[in-house]
Amino acid sequence: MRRTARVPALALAVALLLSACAEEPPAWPTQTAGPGRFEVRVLVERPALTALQSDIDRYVATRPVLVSWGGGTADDIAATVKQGYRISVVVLPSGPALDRIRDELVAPPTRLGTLGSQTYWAGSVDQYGLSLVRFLAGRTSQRVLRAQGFDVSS
Amino acid sequence: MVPEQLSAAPAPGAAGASADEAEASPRQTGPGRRRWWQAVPAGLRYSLAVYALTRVPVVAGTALFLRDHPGSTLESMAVTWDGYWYTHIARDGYSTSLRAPVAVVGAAHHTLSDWAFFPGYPLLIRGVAWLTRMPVVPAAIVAAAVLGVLAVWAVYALGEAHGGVRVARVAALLVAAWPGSAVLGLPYTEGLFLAAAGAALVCLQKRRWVVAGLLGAVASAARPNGLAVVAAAAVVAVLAVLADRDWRALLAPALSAAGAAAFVVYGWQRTGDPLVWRHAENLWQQRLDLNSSAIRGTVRLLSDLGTTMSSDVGRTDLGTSLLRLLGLLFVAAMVGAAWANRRRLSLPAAVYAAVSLAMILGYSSVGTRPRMVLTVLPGFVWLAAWLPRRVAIALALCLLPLLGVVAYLWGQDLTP
Repeated sequence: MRRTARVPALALAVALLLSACAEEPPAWPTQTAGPGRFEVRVLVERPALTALQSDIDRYVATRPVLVSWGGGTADDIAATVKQGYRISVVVLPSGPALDRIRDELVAPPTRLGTLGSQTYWAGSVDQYGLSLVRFLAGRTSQRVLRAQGFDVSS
Repeated sequence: MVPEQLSAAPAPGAAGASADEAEASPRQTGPGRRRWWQAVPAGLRYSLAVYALTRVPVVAGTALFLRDHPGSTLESMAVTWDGYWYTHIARDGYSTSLRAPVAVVGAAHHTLSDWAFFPGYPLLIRGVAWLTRMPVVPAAIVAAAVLGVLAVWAVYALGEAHGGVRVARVAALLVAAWPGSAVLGLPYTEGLFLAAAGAALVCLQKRRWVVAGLLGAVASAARPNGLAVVAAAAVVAVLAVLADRDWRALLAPALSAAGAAAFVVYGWQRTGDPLVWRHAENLWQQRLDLNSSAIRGTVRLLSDLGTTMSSDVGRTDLGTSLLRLLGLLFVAAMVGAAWANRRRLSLPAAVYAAVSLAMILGYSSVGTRPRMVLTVLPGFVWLAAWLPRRVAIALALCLLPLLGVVAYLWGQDLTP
């Protein structure tokens, strides 16, 4: 019986250890803004992060939402989305990372403009991000982006 | 076929086995006098009767809900929660991406993933729909109802192997009366899983390695809890190899793991992500938290009872929390019963129960919800062996009204 009791105990320990082997997301929001309780998570490719920050501030100033955002490489952002972490909006340049997550978006990505040599797109991964993407593509936001160095001419 | 063999072959020293034989023998004096129902194994007959009786509160609860909510239908109740996903997979197949396409499931469901759901039951639904020419949802309900009987029968067989017919009967009664069994008539995997896992455990005890492996494969293709069957098979097989050089025993874990492995390979081939199931679990917020968020949620609901009781949502949430609490008490009782039965515990059942309990107690999203407690099959057997018969029957009778309550609240988004 003693052996019988040891084996389930060992199985339990192994099962718990296996369960604990959780991955960390490659990119994750690090800053928050807004008064709301409902959280919209945004990941932006690092070179565009500063330019988008003032846009996000403007967005939360008029809505009862909490936006948490952070930066990362395009590949890390795509990996985070592909690994099933709850992200509502991604801002990525044209390229393989955007192509990789195209099927994960709730609607086709929206073009924001060009920064340097890269064309940036905003994509909503779930329906909670649709409003922010619409806002980013809107006239007010485009003015802010232009001021931050984006070429928003289509 | 397998449970029939199992229940037909009582365990050595099964004291109660003679009761069934005694019941059957006077009528079997000649082939002409054999009643038609005697062709059905005694275990199945009993399981069918218990299952039918315990469905009365489920039907009553469902009927009351439909009366109180004129817009609802049986079909809309069936495709609440996971039922939606199983019938969606049976109808549309799995997505090629992690998140299900908006065009197929709509924007709200796109937030989630069909890859969190194992393919065993959707495949069966598809098979039943094809055979019967029924639409997917009714086919899913029919399949679930039949599998529900088989699940109770598997518990009967497990009980019979543990302690004879008396234990078998009480265990079958307890599992059928347990509030989580409300899902046995809904498009959920529990029926398939419990039937396969219970029968696999009995086969492991009887060292029928190939049959155990095949049943284990069905279980591991039906639910992640199939891991518990694989673990049980692996431990038993390793001991069989070490003690008797019985290399054939390794077929049991190898075949058992094949069900889940096939799903992983298919997911990899379809999405390009070998860990798509694991990533889908992230999307469903399945995280190891030792049930802490469930406990916090219950405390929050109970500490502001006035607000909780003021809305349908609050009352349903409270119902869910109280059922979790009941599940926790039941799990504690199962552990106590295991201790009381410690000299008679079979190794596969003990390993299976330990891994199942680890899953339940590790994750809030799984938790001690009644339908999750249902997966700890050996626990029902140990309780049946431990409790005096009258106490066990009284307990089952007390649980019956709760079955009806669960069926009613199901329509109000209760997560059983």
